[in-house]
Amino acid sequence: MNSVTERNAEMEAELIKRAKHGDSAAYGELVSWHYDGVIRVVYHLCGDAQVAQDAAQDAFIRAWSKLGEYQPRGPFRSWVYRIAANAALDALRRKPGERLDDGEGPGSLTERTPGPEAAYLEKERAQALQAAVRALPAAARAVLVLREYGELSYEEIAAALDIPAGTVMSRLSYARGRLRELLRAYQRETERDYVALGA
Amino acid sequence: MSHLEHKLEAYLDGALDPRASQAVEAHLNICPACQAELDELRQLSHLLRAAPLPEFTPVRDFKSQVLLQLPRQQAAPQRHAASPMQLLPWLAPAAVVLGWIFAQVTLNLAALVSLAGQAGWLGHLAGWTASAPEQSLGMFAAQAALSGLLGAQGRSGLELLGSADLLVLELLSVLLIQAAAAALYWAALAFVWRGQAQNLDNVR
Repeated sequence: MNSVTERNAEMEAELIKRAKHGDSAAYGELVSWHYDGVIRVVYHLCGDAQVAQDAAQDAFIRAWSKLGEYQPRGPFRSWVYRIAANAALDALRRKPGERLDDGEGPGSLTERTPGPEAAYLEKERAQALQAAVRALPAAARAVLVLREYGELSYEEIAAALDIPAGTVMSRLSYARGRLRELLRAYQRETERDYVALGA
Repeated sequence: MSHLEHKLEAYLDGALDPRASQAVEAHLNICPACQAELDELRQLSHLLRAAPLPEFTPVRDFKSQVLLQLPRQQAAPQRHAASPMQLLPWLAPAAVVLGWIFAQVTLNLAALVSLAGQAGWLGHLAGWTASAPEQSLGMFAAQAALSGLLGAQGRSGLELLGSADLLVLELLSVLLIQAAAAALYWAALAFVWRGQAQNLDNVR
């Protein structure tokens, strides 16, 4: 859906070229192409729809101002995501009460409303997982979000966050490990709820 | 912990080369624990991607909002270190002036030493200067060809030797003419460069 790789790369290169020369209509096309991906990345980094919307807007304005610095050696998508990730993290820094250090977050998969209906279980679990993602340290969260929602390769993530590929792997492994622990705890708790309901 | 450690995640993410992928698949076929771990990772990825998204501004409206807020000026393209060929038009006049000064000073000094030797001012060293008349002649010729100091405006070398002020004045006048020529060249270059920059602005 968001993948510009499926679109004509030559068309994108032409749009970038025109945008670099100040053609805002061409830049508008690039915004349309990358909007879905950018909003998904910033939303999962911020966890707040309004903050994400503002951060996405900020990201595209920043990208326009920095367009002269873009080198076509790497994909435009990962370049924009890098700017978007930074805009999202900046937005979080401005948000009171948000922690961006590498400490353990307070999140838990037990942040859910009780409800035995099976149809809601997966949705509920996914929402709870989002709470756990938001509780991850910012550095690990950025890597996880760029991989899972931005669908960037390790090399693209490394370039986007300016970190070695090995660090991408270790942060990703840490983030997934943490979420899996929480997921297991959530499943144990769900099973206990069912047992209690049946008793 | 998987027997494959990070390789299992790299396999899931499609980050392994074909050979490493085949090795992981071979291991998964014989290791239920690693297969279970892979299934868990897949489930996690599925759940993450299945998370519902809130309603966002439609792309058309978002695009309009962004375009309205774009600053008029973009950052200039990142400048890379200029290649020697790009710098050549700017450095050439400086190199010519420096070369000219070097040639003038060298030839004039040589000519002055030669004249001083002929005038007998160098005492027993006169023989050293007189021993190479061909070289002296060559220096005079080269110096004359470069519109140098001696002989300019009809003055003789001996006249100039007698007046240090006159010597400096003549030298400065020649250098000033050359520096002025270089400045004109640079001004022309700057004019052309400014014209190109304005054309780029107009495109924007």
